[in-house]
Order: sequence, then structure tokens, then C-alpha cells
Amino acid sequence: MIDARHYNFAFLDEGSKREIRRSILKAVAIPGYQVPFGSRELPIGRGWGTGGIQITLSIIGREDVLKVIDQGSDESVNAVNIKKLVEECTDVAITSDSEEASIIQSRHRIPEIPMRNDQILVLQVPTPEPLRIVETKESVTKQMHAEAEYSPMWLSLFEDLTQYGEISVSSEYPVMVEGRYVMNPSPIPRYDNKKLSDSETLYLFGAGREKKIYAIPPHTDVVSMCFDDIPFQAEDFEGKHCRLCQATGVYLDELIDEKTGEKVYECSDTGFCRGRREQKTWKHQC
Amino acid sequence: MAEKMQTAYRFDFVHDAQKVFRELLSALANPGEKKSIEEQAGRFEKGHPSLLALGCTLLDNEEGLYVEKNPALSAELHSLTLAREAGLCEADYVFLSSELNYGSMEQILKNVKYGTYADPQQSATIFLLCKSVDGAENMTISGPGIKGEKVIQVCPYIKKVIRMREKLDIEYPLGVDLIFTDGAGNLLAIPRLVKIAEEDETWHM
Repeated sequence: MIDARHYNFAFLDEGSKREIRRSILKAVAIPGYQVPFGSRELPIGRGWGTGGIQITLSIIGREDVLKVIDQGSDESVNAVNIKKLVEECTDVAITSDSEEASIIQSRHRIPEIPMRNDQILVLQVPTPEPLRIVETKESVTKQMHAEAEYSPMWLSLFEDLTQYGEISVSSEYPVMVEGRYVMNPSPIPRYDNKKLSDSETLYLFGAGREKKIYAIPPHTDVVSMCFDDIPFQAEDFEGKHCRLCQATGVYLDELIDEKTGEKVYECSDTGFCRGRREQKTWKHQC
Repeated sequence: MAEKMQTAYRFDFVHDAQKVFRELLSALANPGEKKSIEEQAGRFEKGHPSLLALGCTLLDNEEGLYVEKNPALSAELHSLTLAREAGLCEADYVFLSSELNYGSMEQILKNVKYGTYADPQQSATIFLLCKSVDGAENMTISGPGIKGEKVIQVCPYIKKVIRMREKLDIEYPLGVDLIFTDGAGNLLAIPRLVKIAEEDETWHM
């Protein structure tokens, strides 16, 4: 059993936390740069959010309020298990309200309600290296980042454009941070990319299997890579709305109604949707 | 007769360190915003409480430590954290326990680690203890973490040190991150990308 009597506060030993904290501080000082760190063993398999968990466990304190979401959902298996782990070894308060939370750990989404400066968003990252699609060797991609040699990445986007008539990258759409580092924003949809730039909040990205931590501080310049004559395009939900809370202008999941066979839509951010239905966030009209 | 036991410190390496870290993280993510570690620094009875609290939060035997002209602080930090003493050129963390003159400060900024293009994180972080972080000197700064430009009031020493770092013209992503603190437990972080805006170019050596 994992609890505060048998384990250190926040599960990790203090030496591990210190190393992760040092890496986080460097990541914040060098936005978009992937800082290597010694990823620790956790009671959860690598690839299941261990990078995000290690960041959360290293930054969390007794006064924090934690929210964990997985693809926008507060109730998925991954989110529930991470919440259980953190709660049992820290006794911090858990919430599904993104405005109540001081730390939000997320897989693949940024909450709909804009985050504040006193909050931190921790994103779980499966493949932190944006250049992996053009170069398989870590030693080479590291050198490419060192030299800001991103022409293969531009070529890859151009080839995509010529093949499909548009850039077909649906998630993990690469961004340029402060005009220096190409960065993988984790598998968030393109819709969420715009939330990374000039944000009020601090974004921390953790990749446990790949042993990398990187960050985007508030008010940092983050540009989705595109060409002058082919502007970046996010997903378009024009004319569609959530069937549960009627929200428009938010990221929607497409579902098939089992009875009618028709396409229907629901908010991807379940906490946001629930809040609207409980009349808590009607003030947020998108 | 038994001697009365003296408590050297009451700093909690789990919870106080976490709080100091969060203030430090917030300070680095929001350059120019003053943060406070007064309560946690107050857990140290003597010496330089702010620097000790910061040291105990970040240092251990994996890190190289350099303390300028203060063997007592160096010994204390080593004793508390087991951080190994390193030369200025190899140190991961540099602690300056007093305001240095121009020549000394310049030598430190010139000789600390800047990292490499492949590994810019292998650069030094300098903790500078000032008489007071606050001051009458206006300084306009810009960079990541700052919305547009921000005018802050700092002591002249802080502005002087940032100017010196800028004068070295270290090419990003190489660089040195500066964390200013004072006896009252205030924190002010100026990471490598933060610059003094053009309007303040009237500064002279």
C-alpha cells in the first residue's frame, strides 16, 4: 500500500526530487529545450505518464490542489490512477474544477478555461523529440538542436503539404519557441497550440520514458511552424456544439449516436462541460 | 552538568524545501516579480539564512558548489548538503554572500560555466545576496515570463550585475541565470533570456 506512513511525502525520495527540480529550473530558463534527467522507477509503467507524475510529485506541496485529466477527461483510468497515487502519498486535495486547482496534470489537452498565473500545467509527453520523424538518432537530433538546424523539419512539413494539399499533422504539431527551439507540444490537438503562446500560466512537460523535461514560461513566444503562404490551421468546429452543454467554440469529441447512427459532439474537457451544466461557468462564453 | 542542546536549524528538508523551490520556480517563470522565502529562511538561526535555504533546496553531492570569499558559508553548505566544493569554472551553483565590486563581479561572470550549445543546461546558476533586493533604481526588463516590458524598482547593484552579464554578449542558449536574494528572504530571478530594455541604455560603467 502506498501511503504517507510507508513512503516519503510525494513518493519520491528527496534526492530524486532535487534532481528533477534542478532540471525544471533549467527548463524554465531555456524555454523549449529538452533537459535530460534521471527518470525514476514508479509504481506505474513508463509510457503511462511517468514524466508528468515525476514533475507533479517534485513540485507538489501540502497546500496544493490537484486536478488530473486524460484526453480532457477527469474520469479515465489513467487520470484516476494518477490521482490515487498522488493523493495517497501526499494527502493533497483533489478536484475536477480547473479553476480550483493549483496544479493540473494533463495528457493530451489544455483545459478550456484559461489558466491563471498562479497555476501550473504539467503535461505528459510520450515522444518529446519533435525531430524524431526526420532523424532516428538521439545524438544527431541533439546536435541539430544545438545548431538550430531545422531544415529537415521544414522539408518534412513541405513534403506533407505537397502530398496531401495541407499539413496533415493532427496532434504534436511542432512549434518554435522564442525563435530558437523546435518543440513538441505533446500530443495536444492543434486547437490547443495557440494556448501555449503568451499564456498566463507555466507549462511543464515531462517525458519519463525518454527522460526529458522541458518548459514554456508564461508570456513566451510560441509559434506553430507553418509557411508564409500556408497559415497554420487549427481544427474547425464551425456550426457544431456540445450536445450536453450546448457549448460552441470549444474542442469537441466526435461520437456516433448508437440509436440514430448520426454524428454528435461533446466537449472534450469534461470538467468544463460539467461545470457549464451545473451553471458554474456560463460566464465563460466562447 | 549536561550542556544545553543548541538547534542549528529547523529547516524541513521535505516541506520547507518544497516551498522554497516553488517560490524559486515562480520567480524564474516570472522574472522581475519579487517572491519571498522569509519563513523558510527563518528556520536557520545564523549565517546567511536565505542562501542556506536556497542551498538546502537545490544542492546535494551531485552538484559542484563555489562560494566566493566565505569559507564559513561554504563549509556550512557542504555540511548541510554534501555538495562538493568546485572551482569557479566548474561550479554548477555559485553563491555570492556579499555585494562584490565591479572587477570581482566581472571575473565571476566571465569565468562561470555557460553550458554548451548541445547541453546549455550545464551552465552555472549564481545566487547573489544583496543588502536589499528593493531599491530606487528603475529598470525596464523584457523576455520570456514578462508580458511585453515591465518596469521594476531594484537596488543599483542588481542593475549593474545584469548590465555586466549583457555586456558579455553570451550567445543564447548559452548563459548564466541570476537569482538575487536578501536578508529579508526576498527573491528576484533574472534568467539568461531576460534583458534590460533599450530605454535604459543610459547606464554607464
